[in-house]
Amino acid sequence: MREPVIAGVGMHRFGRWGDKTDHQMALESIYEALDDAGLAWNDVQAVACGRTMPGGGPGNLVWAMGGANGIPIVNLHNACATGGSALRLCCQWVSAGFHDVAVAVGMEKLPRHFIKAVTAEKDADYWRWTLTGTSNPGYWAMDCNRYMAEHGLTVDTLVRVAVKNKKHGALNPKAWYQKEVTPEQVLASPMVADPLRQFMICTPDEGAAVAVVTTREIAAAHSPHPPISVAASELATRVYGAPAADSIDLSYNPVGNAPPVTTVAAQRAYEAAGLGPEDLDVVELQDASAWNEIEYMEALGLCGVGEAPAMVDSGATGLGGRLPINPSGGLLARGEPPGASQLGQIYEMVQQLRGDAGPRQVEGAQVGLCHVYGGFGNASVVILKR
Amino acid sequence: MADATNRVPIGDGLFTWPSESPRLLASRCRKCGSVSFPAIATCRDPECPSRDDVEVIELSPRGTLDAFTIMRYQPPLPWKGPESMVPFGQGFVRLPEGVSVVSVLLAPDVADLRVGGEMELVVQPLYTDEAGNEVMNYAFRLVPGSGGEDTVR
Repeated sequence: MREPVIAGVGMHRFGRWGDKTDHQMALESIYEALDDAGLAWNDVQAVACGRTMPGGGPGNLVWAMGGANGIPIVNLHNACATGGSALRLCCQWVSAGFHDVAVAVGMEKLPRHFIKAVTAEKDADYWRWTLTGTSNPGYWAMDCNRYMAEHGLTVDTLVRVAVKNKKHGALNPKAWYQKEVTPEQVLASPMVADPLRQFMICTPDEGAAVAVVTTREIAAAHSPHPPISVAASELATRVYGAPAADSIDLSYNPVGNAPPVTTVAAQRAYEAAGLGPEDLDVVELQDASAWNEIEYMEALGLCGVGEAPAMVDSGATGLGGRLPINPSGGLLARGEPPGASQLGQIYEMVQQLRGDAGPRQVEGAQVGLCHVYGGFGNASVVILKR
Repeated sequence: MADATNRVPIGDGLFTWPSESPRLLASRCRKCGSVSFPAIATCRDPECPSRDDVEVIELSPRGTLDAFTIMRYQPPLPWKGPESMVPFGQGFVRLPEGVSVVSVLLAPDVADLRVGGEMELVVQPLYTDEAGNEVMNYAFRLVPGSGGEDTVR
């Protein structure tokens, strides 16, 4: 098996872009990533393209815009874990020797407001909307309330997470929201699903991000940057009996101690990389809401169960702290275009590990973890190493 | 006042209807006892070798609140509840059969909802369809006496 490395990355700033198509955003990101890698269009041997919104063959359409040349293109949809799934596929191709240069593309143009059921089929997703109207923020808030009842989480800590990530985002030219918010502004924003307020919740948006995956030898021969090793790119799906927010159905079976899907993916990634949470210098994780940052800090093993609020309150997770979390500003500052979201994390992490993150730089960062949790019980954990 | 003939369930096989004391309908694996709501033709426990040996059962009408929130915005379609319902509770109610069911939650004052609170099943109109039928949906309401005053219709 060959070691897959990231030789180049590109990212179209996330946000709202009017009539501009996500195909155009993806194409610009591919050009940026190829230039970054020092590789040419025809050097690419395969493409994995992720998008969650309907519309056939997004990768084929994008590639035809830049010049159709017959290479295999796989289009995929794994909710918020879509970009990570595309990256994983490219790593597997390179690792197994099927292709020497593969490009992971994530793209999206998501409508405003709640992410809702888009299928006409009367599947479980349709029924949970029809019978209960439960949106993503609703599920997050339910788990947050349960955690609050069991542990010492307060609204003040949720506010701290939101203020921190928006502060990081203000330093990131690729973030949508590049403006700090005050605790007072967070607390004055409208309540969406108690205890989560608007400024504690990420916003659906538009964008694209791309990673060029290849071998260390090819990267070293072409790219002016140090190759970034993909030490692990792991996916997991929900385990029977796992807690409510992972649920995709109208009911779940609270039996035994089934681990949340994020923990399953993280364990696989730590094992594949031969690393543990103690080895991480910087983390990008799925702060779909301020609560989710707390939840996933614990699920990823960055601290013990019940310890995340104190870790946030200590300042350890801010830039300059012991383990900076979401230096890009996270989903709270970037918004979330699900197909592109994790490749946006990868873009940030590559800058961090190259030492090119400017005012957001985590000093001396050598190892970084990127995590997303997606609807229908998908989790992706990627560990990158300088 | 509507009579029973123009009150229709929101979906088939979700709960007993018409009924004076409706019950949610679920499937239970005859081999391992795993329960699914809504009823499905399969067993969803991966450790159970049985595939489709299931029976339909009525779930207990009372359970405890596992997790909840108060939704402050009108959910999008295919939800068809009236805007006048907002804000309303949403949460998981854990039932004695070993299954936790997501549901609309009702209480005289939604601020009285608590994790561990006792909840009971109700079936009531959610909206009126194009044909003038009252469309009946399930919900769980806070058991009178375990929270505020019972003023839910």
